[in-house]
Amino acid sequence: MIKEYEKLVKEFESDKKDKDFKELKIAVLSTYTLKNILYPLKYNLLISGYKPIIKFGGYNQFIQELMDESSFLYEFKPDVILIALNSRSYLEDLEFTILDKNKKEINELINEKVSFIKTAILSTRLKSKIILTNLDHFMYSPYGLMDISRDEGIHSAIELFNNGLIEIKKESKSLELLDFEKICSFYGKKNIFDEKMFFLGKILLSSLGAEKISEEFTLFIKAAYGKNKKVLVVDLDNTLWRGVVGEEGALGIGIGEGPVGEIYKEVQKVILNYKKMGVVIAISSKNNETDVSEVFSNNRNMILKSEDFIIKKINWQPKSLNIQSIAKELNLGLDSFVFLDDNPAERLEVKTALPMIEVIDFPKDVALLPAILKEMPYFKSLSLTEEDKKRHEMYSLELKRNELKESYSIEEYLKKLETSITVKIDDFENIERIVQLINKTNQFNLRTKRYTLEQVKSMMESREYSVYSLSVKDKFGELGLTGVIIIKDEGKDYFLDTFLLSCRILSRKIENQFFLESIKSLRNDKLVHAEYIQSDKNEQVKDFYDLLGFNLIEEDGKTKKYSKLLKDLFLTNIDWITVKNG
Amino acid sequence: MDKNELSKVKEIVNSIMGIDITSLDPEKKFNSIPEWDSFNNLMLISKFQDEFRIEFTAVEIENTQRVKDLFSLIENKIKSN
Repeated sequence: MIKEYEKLVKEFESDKKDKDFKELKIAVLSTYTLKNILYPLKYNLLISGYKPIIKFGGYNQFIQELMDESSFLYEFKPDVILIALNSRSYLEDLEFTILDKNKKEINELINEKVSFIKTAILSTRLKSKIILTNLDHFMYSPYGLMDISRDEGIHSAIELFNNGLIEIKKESKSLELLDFEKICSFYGKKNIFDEKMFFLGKILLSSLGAEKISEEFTLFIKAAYGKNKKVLVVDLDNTLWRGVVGEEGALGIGIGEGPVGEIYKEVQKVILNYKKMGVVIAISSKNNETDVSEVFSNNRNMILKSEDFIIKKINWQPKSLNIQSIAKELNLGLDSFVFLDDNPAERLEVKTALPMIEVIDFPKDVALLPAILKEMPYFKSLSLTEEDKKRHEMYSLELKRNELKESYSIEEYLKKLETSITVKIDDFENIERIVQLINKTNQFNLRTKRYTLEQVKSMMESREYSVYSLSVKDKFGELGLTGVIIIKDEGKDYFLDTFLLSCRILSRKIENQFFLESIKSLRNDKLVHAEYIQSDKNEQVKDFYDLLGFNLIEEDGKTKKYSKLLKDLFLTNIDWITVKNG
Repeated sequence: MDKNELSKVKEIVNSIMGIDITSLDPEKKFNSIPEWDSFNNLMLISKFQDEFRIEFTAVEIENTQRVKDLFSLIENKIKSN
């Protein structure tokens, strides 16, 4: 059943639920008429917390629009551009001319089509993020059954084209590729396309197609702006294996053997993949701890090992309490948690107590669980940074630090940590991580200004802005790139555009030393302006600039404005922190 | 077309085109109505198909050029349903 998106959008807007949402300008360019995604796209973005403004380009004119500075795009200045391609409309009747072409001619045509796009994307002066779809495979080829086995067939031509797009992606950090072919084959081209509407008005997509491409596009937006979840908390009995370990024993549970055991084995494999991609996994289970540790040490069919889980809460407490304490121990917000449990009562308990947590709809038939876990939208990301790959390790070190903290006074603890920091300026090599922090950090973030990769890149390149990034290390290991300060040189004065720190390095006064290092090369006879803008989550830094010694100039609702002559800021080195040269 | 169906047609046209179709001259051609753009015309057709559970052919859609054509097309389709 296709939703009535127009009605849903109007209801949403008339309730003014979007009044505090971040405005997002989106341009949709396409080789076919795609205006029918307006309402499904709007709706999907609204429920994700954005207030979209959507404009459509002309029919099949995206190359000119990207390059011609008098096109609507240059005036509109979209945050994101979606370029939707389709083989039937972009390859100009290839399916009707292919019989007259040899392999070389086909390749030339395809390479030319790729290079048009490449030129447009690499030379456009727009600062937008660009999301480009690949081409769908034709449903029709004059070669019929033979097409797939011929070099000069239409299937090979599309493969060549799509591989060409991957090459463009390698050269452009503003570009992301959206796998349109995958969406089409997932839902079926007979359902995704509307043959009649294509002839009547070049409207390629059915309402289902419009819905699905809108959903996929929204996932890209959420990933680009860092709205992903970080932790998956799982139950054990009948969730990671069939049966109850307390009754059936460590070797009696269903994992790896028999059809249902195979299903659970795949469930564990999918979860392990998420872990490898940087998702932190934890357990909350009502069990005896000895039963569970026996499973991990004796059941050889287990894919997930004891050490894969950052924290195991195996007790008889309400699960919402367990999740809260996991959040506290990891120093993460509850809204970055996803919960998986087969028991509807547990799901309800968690959802009721902690509504900000995503609770996975556990299927009646566990055969559907692997697919649900593979398709769920919570952990889709657009980059895999070194920080992502090492996340589990970093959090487990954090837990060790906490243990140390408990056995010493705070000062002794900070000394024992042997913290050292490195501050780099305009570190282009780590731009992806810097952008990730700018978009993800909520708690220690003075202004919560979000910037895209393109914006950060142009700040690094400009003389006006300096982007300082902080890396931290201590005796337990690397904490990685965990802080960003952006200073704008306004000529007469300086302005602290951004000041943020990842929550994993808080309460160690690192922020003071980081700030000190960042302002070292500035002229101390100039004024520094700073600002605190209140968000839902940055209460803890409300008085940060007061504590640094800035003078409060103006307080207006959610904003506090400060300034101070640089040389009047008396900042002293923090003696338990070593500074290494960047 | 009964009263119920007529008011449904009126409501659908109004929601997509923002005009009252019952106030238009039946002889009026769609291409002479500024609000009646070709994309919205197809959205309208889809909506009628879904709403009345009917199906128009490409030829029927191409031949539907005037206000009265639209009414008679819908009426005939509903009857033969």
